[in-house]
Amino acid sequence: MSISSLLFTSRDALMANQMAIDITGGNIANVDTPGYSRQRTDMTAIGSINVIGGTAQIGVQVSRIERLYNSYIESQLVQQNQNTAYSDTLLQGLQSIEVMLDDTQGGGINDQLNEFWSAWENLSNAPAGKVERTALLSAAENLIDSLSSYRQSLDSINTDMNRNISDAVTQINSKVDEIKDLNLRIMETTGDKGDSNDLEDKRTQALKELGSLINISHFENADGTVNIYLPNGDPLLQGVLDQDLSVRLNADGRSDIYSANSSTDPVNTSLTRGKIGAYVELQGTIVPKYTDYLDDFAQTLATRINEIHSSGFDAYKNTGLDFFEIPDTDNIAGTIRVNTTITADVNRIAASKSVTGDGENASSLAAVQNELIMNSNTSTLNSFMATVVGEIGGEVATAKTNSNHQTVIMNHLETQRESISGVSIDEEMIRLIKYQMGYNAAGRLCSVVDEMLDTLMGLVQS
Amino acid sequence: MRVTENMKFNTTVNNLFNTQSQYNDIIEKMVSQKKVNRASDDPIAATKIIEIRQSMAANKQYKTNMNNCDSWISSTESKLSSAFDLLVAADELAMGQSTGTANATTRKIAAQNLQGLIDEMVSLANTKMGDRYLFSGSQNDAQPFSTTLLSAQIGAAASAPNNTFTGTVTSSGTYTGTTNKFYAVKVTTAGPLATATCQTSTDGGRTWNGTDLSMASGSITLGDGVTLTFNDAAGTKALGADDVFHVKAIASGYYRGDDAPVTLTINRGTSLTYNVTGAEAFTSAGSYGVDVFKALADLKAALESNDGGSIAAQLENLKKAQNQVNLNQSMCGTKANHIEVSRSNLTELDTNLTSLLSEAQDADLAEMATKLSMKEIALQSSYSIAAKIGETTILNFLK
Repeated sequence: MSISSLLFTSRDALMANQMAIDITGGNIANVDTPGYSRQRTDMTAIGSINVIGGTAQIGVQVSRIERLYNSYIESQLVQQNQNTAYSDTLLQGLQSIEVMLDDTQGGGINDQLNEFWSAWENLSNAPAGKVERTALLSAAENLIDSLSSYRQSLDSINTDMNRNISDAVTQINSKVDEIKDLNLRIMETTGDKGDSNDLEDKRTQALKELGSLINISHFENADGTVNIYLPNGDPLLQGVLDQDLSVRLNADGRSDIYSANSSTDPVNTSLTRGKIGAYVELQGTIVPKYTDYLDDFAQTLATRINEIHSSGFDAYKNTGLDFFEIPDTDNIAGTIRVNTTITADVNRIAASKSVTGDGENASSLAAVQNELIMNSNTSTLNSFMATVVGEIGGEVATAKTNSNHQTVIMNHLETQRESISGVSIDEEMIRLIKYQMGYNAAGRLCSVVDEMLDTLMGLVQS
Repeated sequence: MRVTENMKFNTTVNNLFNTQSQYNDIIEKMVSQKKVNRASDDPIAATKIIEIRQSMAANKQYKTNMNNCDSWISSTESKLSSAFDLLVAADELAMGQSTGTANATTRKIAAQNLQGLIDEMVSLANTKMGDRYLFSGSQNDAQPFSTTLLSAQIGAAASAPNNTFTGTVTSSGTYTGTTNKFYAVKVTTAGPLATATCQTSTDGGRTWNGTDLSMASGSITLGDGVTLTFNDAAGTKALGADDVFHVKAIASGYYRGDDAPVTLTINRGTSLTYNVTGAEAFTSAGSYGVDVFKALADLKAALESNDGGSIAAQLENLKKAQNQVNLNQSMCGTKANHIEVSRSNLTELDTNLTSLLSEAQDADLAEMATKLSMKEIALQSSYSIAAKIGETTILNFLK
């Protein structure tokens, strides 16, 4: 072999080490990049020559740039991200209902209800009293104001959810779009030299972000692209063909989500994870449940009070009217009001059981507080509302536990991923020293060869 | 295991957040002095707190009711006690005038004295508390006692102001009942007289006869000789459902009130009749069967007619009258006692509820303070670790 070929060996070595330093530099630069997987150069010996007694390798090349990752952990992260986003979002939604219904500090609907009963008792003490009648009317109005403000808060949560769902659908479509573009570029990048490493990192990251929005399953095709499916099997992305979700408001004022495959049947029921899963559950199940509780409460209150009230006599000895009116039976808690005739003239409140002007009917109305008329005749109006507070409290507490648990799982997975794919500055610095030494040595080789050539040329001249 | 920079930072930050949120939680509990600040802190306790507060609100109302009863009863008692004294005075007067030493002149003077006692008695029996008469039962439209003897009468029929029916209603008949009553008629099926039906009540509308009666004849017999006649000659004025007509009938005597009890709720499911009706205390419906005002009037007549025998005959009645008033007075004592017992029960219950509420809701400050200082130490060590993460790296050794 010739001396000059040593120059080539030295050139290869310089290039390979420089490449390794480049990659190390890239790792250091991306130490904080989310989703980045550290890379490593794979070096192989080249240029075998025959020598006496065998062959020897006299060169080096970077055969590929390897991306270090564990695909099981990555797909676990996509899955668990769905759960985490779901439980965090659900917790936030439940907390906003809790804030509204919470009555443990007083001043809520239970206190208004107590005031209402007290006002009836006071009226029964003084059935002819104008002051007591007016006080009763304002207690009743405070009570139904609370009820309707609760109902309005729940309605506004419903409206928020419509906006959230439509935002989430837009985000999902654009994420799928982004993954489609990455699929396309990965497919175009031929070979296995590590040219698509950063694209794959980006795609994994995009899948995680998509998972935080919606529950999906995904798998990789032979050409390097991934397919994404909804839990019911409808595709969101097949290779480079994306299928957008769409959202429409239904007759109840709630959002229905449609996949490209089924434009008639909404896919709401299969969306159980990710932010959108939480939104769908809040809007479709949780908010209506509490709305029903309020309506049930308002309806029972009105029915029972009206029943007793209309069996009595007012201050003019007329037969009692209905005390409460419900103009809209689809929105009981929101529209219930005191009979306008009574609002206009408090003497129309039927406090008496007979035409003698007694206060016994007021007493009977106050006693409704002890009647078991809610929950299939198992609880009083007061204890029903107390149970509702307990129920939302319980749901929030459970959601908090789930969310904390999910955070622990995510932290654990992130740690595992970091351990495999994360960049360690210490490691990179040591590699840097190693490659620098390699580079220096190759340079030294070059100057030795140069001197050797000089020596050789000197021989020729002299 | 490979440990990277991000792992160190994440672990530190996550743990720092955890400690901070626990620290914050303890601070919230200490500042509010409550361990349940929102329902999710302890859902079961939250339900309990609300229910306890409801019981406490109800108890407060029961106490207000009892205070109202109390003042009513004590003023009833004091009026009855004065009435008793008046009867004793009348008794002494009668005793003095029943003997042979009395003559027409002394009896005339005594009769005048007695009139003073009677006037005093009427004013006692017509005492008002607030805007209600102590002794008129559930009625409140007129003074319960008249100064003159009333004959049995049926009042004018009245129609409730918001009735649909615009025809006239009249009452007729001779009242044969022995107690004062409010009769009421309530239309159950709307329509003209020919097709309308109604129900009747003899206790002012508390209870109804239960069967629908035809109104086709234009008159409804209410019992004890009372009849209501609906006059709609043109046959065009329809009755509306729930139209109410009522008429008051008064039995012969001095009393215009009724014998209805007046009640108040003094505990969950317990109501107390706190009034003494004029009927029980002062009329022949009372337990000794003496009409106090009639006895006094008879005595006065006997004095005026200088009839020693008749005066002596009233002594017996006056004794009974004293007993009747005295009995009602002692019943007031019983009621006051009942209230006192209920009140002390309620107070005890309130104490229990307060301690239950505190148990469910109040934070244990000593425990919280200990936890707080533990968390402070944890937080401090987290901070000092956080400050050190960046210090140990190979970069410090590369020169």
